Amino acid sequence: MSLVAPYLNLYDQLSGEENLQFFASVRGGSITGKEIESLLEKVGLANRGLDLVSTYSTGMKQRLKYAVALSNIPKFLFLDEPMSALDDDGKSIVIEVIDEFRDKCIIVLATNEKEEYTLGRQQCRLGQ
Amino acid sequence: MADNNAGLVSKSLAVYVKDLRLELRTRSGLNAIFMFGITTLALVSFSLGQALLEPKVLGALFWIIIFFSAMSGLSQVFVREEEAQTALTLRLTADPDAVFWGKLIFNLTLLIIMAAVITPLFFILTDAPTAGAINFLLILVIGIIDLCAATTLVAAIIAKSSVKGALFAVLSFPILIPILIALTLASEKILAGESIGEISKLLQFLIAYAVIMITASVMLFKYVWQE
Amino acid sequence: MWWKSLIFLAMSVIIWFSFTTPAPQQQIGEASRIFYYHIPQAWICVIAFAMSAYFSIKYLRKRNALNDDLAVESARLGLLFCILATVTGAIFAKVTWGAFWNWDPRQTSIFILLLIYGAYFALRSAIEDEERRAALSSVYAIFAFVTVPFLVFVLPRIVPSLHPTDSVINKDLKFTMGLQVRTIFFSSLTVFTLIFVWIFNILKRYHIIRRKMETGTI
Repeated sequence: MSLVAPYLNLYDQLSGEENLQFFASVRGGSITGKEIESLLEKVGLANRGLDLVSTYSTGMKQRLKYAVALSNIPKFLFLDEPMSALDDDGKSIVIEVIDEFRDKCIIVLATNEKEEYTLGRQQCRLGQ
Repeated sequence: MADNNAGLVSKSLAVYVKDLRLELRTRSGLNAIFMFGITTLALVSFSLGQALLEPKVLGALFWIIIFFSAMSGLSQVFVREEEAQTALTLRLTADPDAVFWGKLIFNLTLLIIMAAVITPLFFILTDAPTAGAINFLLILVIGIIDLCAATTLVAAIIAKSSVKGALFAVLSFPILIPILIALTLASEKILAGESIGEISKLLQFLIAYAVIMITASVMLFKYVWQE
Repeated sequence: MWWKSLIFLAMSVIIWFSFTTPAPQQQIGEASRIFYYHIPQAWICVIAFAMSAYFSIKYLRKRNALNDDLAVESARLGLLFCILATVTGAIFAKVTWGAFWNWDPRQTSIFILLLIYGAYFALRSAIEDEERRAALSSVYAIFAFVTVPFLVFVLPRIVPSLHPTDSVINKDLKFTMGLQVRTIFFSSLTVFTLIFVWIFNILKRYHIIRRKMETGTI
């Protein structure tokens, strides 16, 4: 299971790569340098892997969260406010990711943004 | 890609390495522990001047220094996670047992590093007898294990409370008094030149304490960690 | 209820006899009378702590708020008896050994119990959320209780002590007290236990009713 949300922080004093490495191994797996590279590329952080997360913008942190969530192929992917803090590039990356993983796992989206409603095949409105 | 079948050991190791990395970058825990240890040691040495101390006092002073240094630095391994709000992330991704073991070993590392510096300084400054050095080191290592065995769970408990720092000492102290008594007594005997046979009962006590407290901590940790 | 007046009567009788019969321990003399009060109090203090740990375990298993209430009440009563035991112990210490406090292992143990109770209540007052408060203090109660066997049984054996060791049970595990002393002592133990049980029951009924009112079943 993987969760991406604004309130879930990653480790500021570790680099992007170190974060990926940690979360992969603490989940009981392992991750190679190549896999880290390709994940970072996928979320558009290709050259920032060695920098500390504290130097990232909010948008970049959000992208790294996606990288972490995807580092082990989850059965469930929970996305809370998936496009928060992201610029257009970031948003298109999210759409790509959702498209890629749509058939590989179950994705659950929680959002208030109208433009995110159409990302899912099924919709469920709460609190009406 | 990542597979999830690796054992507890590698997961705990991951937590340990992560905390170690963070510590080496920020040095927050080490700073606190060292500053406290060195300051207390300096204070002790200063107040005593040239006075030669008997083993009973030396033993007590040594463990007071170690104990209070531990109180100043061992809670931050959990408090830091709560304050940086990475605790939730860790809760969702990691196995609670791995979190506990990783952080226990981390606290052990912190204390061992601190003791490695403070102990020689202590002996130099107080001119304590070094005859039973190996035995003293044995007591030191067991004592450090005991300290961490009891305080790691408490650190997790107070990390989620409002007062944190003061509460850590308040909750830890009663649980630690039995071993502090035993450690002080054992150190006193070793410094007085007695052989290891004299303190075998105390050593058994200290080892039993470590085993029991670690076991209890492992069983109780998930109730503290999960929300 | 009639048996409560019986407790009152019994306690009065015990107090009377504790002062009029010959002192239980000849070497120590009159001060040894305190043994009729001090030991039951200390014993109940530990039992109360055990109960608190027991209810804490039950709480962690089923998350039933009543169990947490009972853990707290056991701890409160335990604290009360702990204070009583400490005070009676200190009085005895002053009369017999000249000082109110000298850190003999059993005195240290009762002091540690006081600290544990204090820490338990300090922890509870530092957490706002009810469920978290219950869970965390339950864990602490259990964890702290694990150290009690060390305190009560192991420590006094390995550290030199001033406490009279052979006055109750000697090395052969035979009671060294005479019949009269034994009667008064065990009656005192029983009555103190009954008092504890009585108060605890009242508090338990209070909490059951309170919880029922909260969930709307009353």
